[in-house]
This record gives sequence, C-alpha cells and structure tokens, in this order.
Amino acid sequence: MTTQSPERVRPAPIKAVPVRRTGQWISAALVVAVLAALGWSIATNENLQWSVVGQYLFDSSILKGAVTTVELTVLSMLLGILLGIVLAVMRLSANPVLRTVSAGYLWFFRGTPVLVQIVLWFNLALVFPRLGFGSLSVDTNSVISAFGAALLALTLNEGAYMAEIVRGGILSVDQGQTEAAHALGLTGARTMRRIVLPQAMRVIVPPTGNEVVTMLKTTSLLAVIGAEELFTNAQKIGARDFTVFPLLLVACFWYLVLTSVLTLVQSKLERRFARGTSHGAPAGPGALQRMFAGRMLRSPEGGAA
Amino acid sequence: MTRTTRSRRLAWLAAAAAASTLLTACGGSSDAGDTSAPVAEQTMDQQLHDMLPAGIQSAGKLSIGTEALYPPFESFAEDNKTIVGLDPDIAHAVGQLLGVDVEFTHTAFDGLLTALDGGRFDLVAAAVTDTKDREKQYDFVDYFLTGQAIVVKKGNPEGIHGVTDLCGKPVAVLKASTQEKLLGQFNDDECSGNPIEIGSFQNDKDALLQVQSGRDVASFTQDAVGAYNSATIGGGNQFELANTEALLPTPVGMVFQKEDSQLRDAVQAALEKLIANGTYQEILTKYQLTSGVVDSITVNGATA
Amino acid sequence: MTGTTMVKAENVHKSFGQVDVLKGIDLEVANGEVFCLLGPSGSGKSTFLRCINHLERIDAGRLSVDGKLIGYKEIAGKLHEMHEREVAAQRRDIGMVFQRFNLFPHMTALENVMEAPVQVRGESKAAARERGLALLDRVGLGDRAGNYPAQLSGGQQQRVAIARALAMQPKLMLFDEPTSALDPELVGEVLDVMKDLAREGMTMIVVTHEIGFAREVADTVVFMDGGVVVESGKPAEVIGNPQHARTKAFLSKVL
Repeated sequence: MTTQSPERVRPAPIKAVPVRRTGQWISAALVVAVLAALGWSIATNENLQWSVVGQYLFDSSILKGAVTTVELTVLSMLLGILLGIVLAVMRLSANPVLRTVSAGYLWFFRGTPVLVQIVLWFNLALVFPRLGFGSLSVDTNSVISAFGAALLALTLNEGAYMAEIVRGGILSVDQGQTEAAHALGLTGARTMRRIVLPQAMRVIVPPTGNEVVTMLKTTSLLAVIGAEELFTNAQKIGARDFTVFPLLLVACFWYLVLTSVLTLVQSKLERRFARGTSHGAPAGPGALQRMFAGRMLRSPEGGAA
Repeated sequence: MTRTTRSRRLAWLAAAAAASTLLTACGGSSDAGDTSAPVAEQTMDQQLHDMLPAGIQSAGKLSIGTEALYPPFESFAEDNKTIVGLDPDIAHAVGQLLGVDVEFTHTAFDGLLTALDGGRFDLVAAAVTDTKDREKQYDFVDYFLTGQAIVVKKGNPEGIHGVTDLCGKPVAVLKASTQEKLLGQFNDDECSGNPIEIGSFQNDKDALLQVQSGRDVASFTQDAVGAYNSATIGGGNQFELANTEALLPTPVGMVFQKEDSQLRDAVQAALEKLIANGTYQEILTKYQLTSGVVDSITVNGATA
Repeated sequence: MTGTTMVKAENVHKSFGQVDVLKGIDLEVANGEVFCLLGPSGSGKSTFLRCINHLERIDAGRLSVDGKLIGYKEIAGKLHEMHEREVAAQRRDIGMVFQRFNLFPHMTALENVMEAPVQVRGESKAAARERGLALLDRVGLGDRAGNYPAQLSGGQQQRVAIARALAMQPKLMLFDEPTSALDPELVGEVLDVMKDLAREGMTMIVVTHEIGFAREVADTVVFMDGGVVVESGKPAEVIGNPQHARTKAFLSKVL
C-alpha cells in the first residue's frame, strides 16, 4: 500500500466517430444550386445587354467618374471626421454655449435629408448672392461649383454623423484614464489628444469604416447637380443610346470594387488601433483551419477503440 | 404677331404625321440624319452684340443650363463631355452672332429653374415648354413648336390611341415637366373617376425604361423626343408613337429671369437673324425636327 | 521628521447631491510622513484623498498642500476658483496611484512613465527615457519597459503606475487602495515598493485595507467612518489599542 501513485502509461488517443453534419451538407448543396441557377439566368439574360456592359466597363469617362467619386469620398470623409471630432468635443464641453451650438448643428444636419442639403448648397446664391463683406465679397456661384457644393454638402452632413460616433468613442473610454491623466498634471486638451482620443479610435474605427462605405454610395446623389462622378457619367452614356440598365450595371461593378478596397483598408486600420490589446495580433488557427479541424483530429488509422 | 391657333394646329398635325411616319419608316440603327454635320459659322453682328447687357459683354460668355439626357435636343457625345443636339447648335450659333462664348452646364431637369433663379446660369436651354403658369415667373423666348406624344411598346400591345385610353393605367413621365402637369390635368377632366397612375422620373430615359420593362403602359413626352426615340432605339423596333393626332401643341423656349429682359431681347434678335439667314432651318433639318419650325421668334407665346 | 506640514485639512465638507460624504475633516500630514487612512467602505476616505488633488471639489472648509490652497486661490480675502491650467500645475507636484492602476493601454510601460515629464514638464524625450528606465528599474521592472499593460500582471501594472507617478518628482504621493484589486500573491511586491518609498522619506497618504502594512510602515493611522475622523494616532495606538467602539468593531472584522 504505497501512498505515492505510480506513473500511469498514457493510453492511445481517443478516436471517436465525428458527428455527421448531414444537414449542413444538404443545405450547402441547396444554396449552391440556387445561386448557380440564379447566376445562369442573369448571365444569359438578353435584356441586360452584357456586350454593352463589357463595352463601357473600362470606358475613360466611367473611370474618370470613379476617380471623382473616390476623391469626393476621401475628401469629404477626412474633412467630415475632423469636423466630427470638433463637434464631439464641443458637445462634451463644460461650456454651455459650445454644447448648445454643437447640439443645434447635429439636430439640423442629421434632421434633413442629404439630398436636400446637396440641392440647398448648390443653390446657395438664392439666399446669399454674394459671399463676404462689401468689396471683399465674391459671387457665390463662381465660388461654389457643382464639385464645391458637393464637397460642402457631404462634409457638413458627414460631420454631424461622425460627431455622434466620436462622442460614443470618447464616452467609451474609462473615466479612470482621464483621472490618471489629470492626476499627472495633463491639461484637458492634452488628455483628449494623447490619452482619450487614441483609445476612442478602437471604438470609432468600425462605424467610421461603415460611414466611408456609405459615403461612397451617397456620392451618387450628386447626379442631381450634375457633378461628374461615377453614377452621373453612367447616366449620361445610358441616356445617349438608351442603354440605361447596362450602364447601371457598369456603375454597380465599380461601386463594388471600390467598396471592397475600402473594406480591406478598414480591417488594416482596426488592427493598428487595437495595438496593445488582444485584438491587435491574431492568434490561433484561422477560419479555414478551424473548419477542417474536425478532420485533422481524426487519426489516419480509424477504427473504433 | 397673330396667327390662328386652329390653322397652326392643322399644319402642325400634317407635319407631325409626315415626320413620324418618315422617322419610323427609316428603321435605321443609328441617329436619324447626319447629326455630326457642322452648322454654318456665323459672323458677329456688332449691333446684336451691343444689345447685350454690360455684364455679359465684359464676361464674354453666356452661361447656359441644360439637362443633356434628352436627345435630339441635348445629349452627351461619345466623349461624355461635349453636349450636342438641337439646343447646343442653336445656342452656339446665337453666341457667334452675339460675339460671346457659350458654356453649357448639365444638371438635373427639376433643378434647372432654381439654379437659374440663383444666378448660376444666364439662361436655360433645355427644350423647356412655355406655359402660362411658368410665364408668371420667367420669360420665354420661343424658338420651336412641340406637341405631346404617347410612346408605347412596338406593336402597341395595350391598344392605346389617345389620351382617354390612358385613363386608369400607369404612365411614366419626366419629373417637373409640362407633360407631368398635363397628365394631372387629364385626371381632372378626361380621366376623372378613373385617373391615370402618374409615375414621375428623374429623366426622360428613366421614364422610357418603365415602358420597356412593362411597369408603365406608356410614357408621355415631347413629340419630337418621342419620335426620335421611337425611330432610333433598337433600330426603331422597340417603341412607337401611339397617337396619330396632334396633342396639345405648345411652344418651346429658352428661359430667362424676369429681370434679364435686356439679355432676352438680344437673344430674341439673334434668333430672328438665324431664321432670316436660313441657319435656323438648316439646324432643324439636320435633326429632322422641321415639324417644329416657327416663322418668327416670340416672347411668352404660350396659350395654355 | 521635520516640522513642516505637507497637507492640512480644516473642517472639510463634501457632498454628492443630497448625500454628505465628508462632514468636517480635520487632519494634518507632516512632511515625510506616511499617513494611513482606514475605514469601512462609504466612510469617505477615498473621497477625501481625491479632494487633495482636486479630482473632487470640496464644498466647505480649507484644504491646502504645502501651504497653498487646492483648487481655489485667495485674493483680497475672497475665494476664487482656479483656472484649469492652474489646477493642472498644482497636480504636477502630487502623484496619485489608483486602485485599478489606470495605465494608458495604448502605450508601453516606458511610454506610460515618460508621458507626463515630456508633455507636462517639457523634458526632452531622451532625458525622460533615461529617467523612466531608472524608475522602472527601481520598482523591479527594468526588463519590462517595452511591454504593454495588457502583457503585465496586476502587480506589475501597479508598480508601473507607481513609477509613472514618481516620474513627475512629486512632493506628495497619494495611494487609493493600491492593492485592493490585486490577487493576494501579488500584493506583496507592490507593498515592498511602497515600503522602499517610505524609507526614502516620501510623504505618502495611503487609503488601504492592509492593516499589516499600516501597522508596520505608517507614522500616523486615521480611522474614518461616516464622513468623520473617529480616531487618529500612532499605529500601535489606533490598531493595537483602539479607544472607540466603531474602531474596535471595524478592526475585529478585518483582523
């Protein structure tokens, strides 16, 4: 009767028959079949005039329109984010004037459709024929072209939505961070810039990425003021020879391409701002590996234990 | 200048019938006629130039607003930048006579007049029909006579022959156009009790698309445009005009703000000269739109 | 012990809305002293500590650090609120260590320590880095300078927090339950650092539940309850031989 338990010999590893995922395979097959049928129907549909789609897919006017779309998206998002940060900080300020002005701005620009805002800025000259004071004024219309009105409308509108996203991000940062920074003697502005905002970015980037993707498509509304972006240019070609639908498909293609690129950029950015947390570097097997993990665990010999 | 409406209508009817049968009989695959042929260059007329307001003279250019999704009046050329069509040709000829450059800007149709109010354009040339209502706010220099047309699928499957056949059916139309207004009026008169379902669209081609897809039984548009589309799209085999009789002829004019009467008069005079020297006829012939020819250029000549 | 007073509280009152948290605190902390605040939760000890560096604003009474009023200035007999910048300047000389460390997660340990000297005192990055490494060494974490807080244990994080506070070369260090959030086996390493600090003569005010630490290191122990000072004196007196019933009741539960 010894008190010490002897070392045990390690038995053969467990070889269990895996669960049959018949249901999964059947539904997968169904989905593939439906998609294939749909795909075939679309590919062979004459009304879609695929030859026309091919003809204009890389048309220089379409490509230029896509470039303009990207330019407008990038510019208005950058400016909109800056504006949003300013508005968010104002909204959280101790100063009641700043708080109210910010709240009022948000109320107006989130409360009116962006299409209406675009038309308003384009026709600003109706309200203010000249901008400026006395001899230092300029003719409104010469300052605000279609592109200018577009940028104004998109930036000011986006600023309002970004303000709420940034505010949410700022509020998500633990109060203790601000206290620690203040306790060290950092002023409010420094604390916001160096401590709170960088941490808020983790919460801000995903919905912001969403906003960028949305903005990319919102630019298509600029067709109402004839801005030369992707949708307008597709529209122009389509009206010429009544190839409206195929040109819409061309526009869709490029919107999809641009959206995909943006999504990739977003995931890179998320990684960067998650530096220092568990989301910063991916660990463990990827999605594909996990899907076949069940297979890998099965031993080649097989057979029941 | 007086002319009896009735005789004018009859002449127009004959011309329209002839024109539409001619166009539909063509059956060619591309644009009717040689629309790339250049128009005779005009030399500047000093007298006309001096009629221009000082601001335009010093600017040296006329800024014109249009919606270039409306061939044969205005559309984009292959380069998708140059605007071509009846209106650009006429406007460039006018500009040459007046000794100023002409700059066309494209924007959505229902935004044109607002932009004119805001001073973004000096005038609007977009095949805008002149109506008494619009004349309350703007001045029109009428240079073309149009009628309305009902465009249906080739073969006229729904058997539409006139306005009364549209009652109770869905019809597509350009948003903020006179045609849209007219459909509304039909619903008060001919179709009261069984109204037309009016579908308004951003541009005329979008409206036409609804006829092709079957969502709407017809599109209600300007006669010249309807005839052009019926003749050119799908080699003339996709659409046809349903009406054989003239429908409500109305003048088409360039639109000016009320306070720009000086510019308006200068443009009117220039257009008169184009009629006198035959260029006007030349341009209309080029686009096979002689059905809309007018004898003289009137201001605010709407009758309805 | 020198005679100069570092912190002086006279009849300090503080309320949060309807709730009175501090109901007249009178205390004096001498220069170089280790001052421990004990008491049940809700007694106001943490609140009082946070009043010292103006993270909370007092409602009545006078509170001064090194002879200067905190958060207010007296001009011609009237009290004026201090501007945010002036308050920040006062906080430079007061270091604080929090219960939940509050390290900046997006910066490494070294960057955490360097942040305030560079941003607030305008030190050059090179000088701040050198001093930062020395400080991290001093708390036993010289080899962890490049790690992020998420990669450090609780005890290590708190030690970095202490180094961070020390980087500003404060006259006074405030500790708000520095070990309450730590696993028991990690408490010792933090207390060791604090003991070293005390030995070097730093003025420390520590709110804690570590009675052993208070008994061993403190010069003065104060027992607070219900927003007032119930008993205060040397550790041997307050902890070894409490006079008041509430003190006895508290200690019997804790010891």
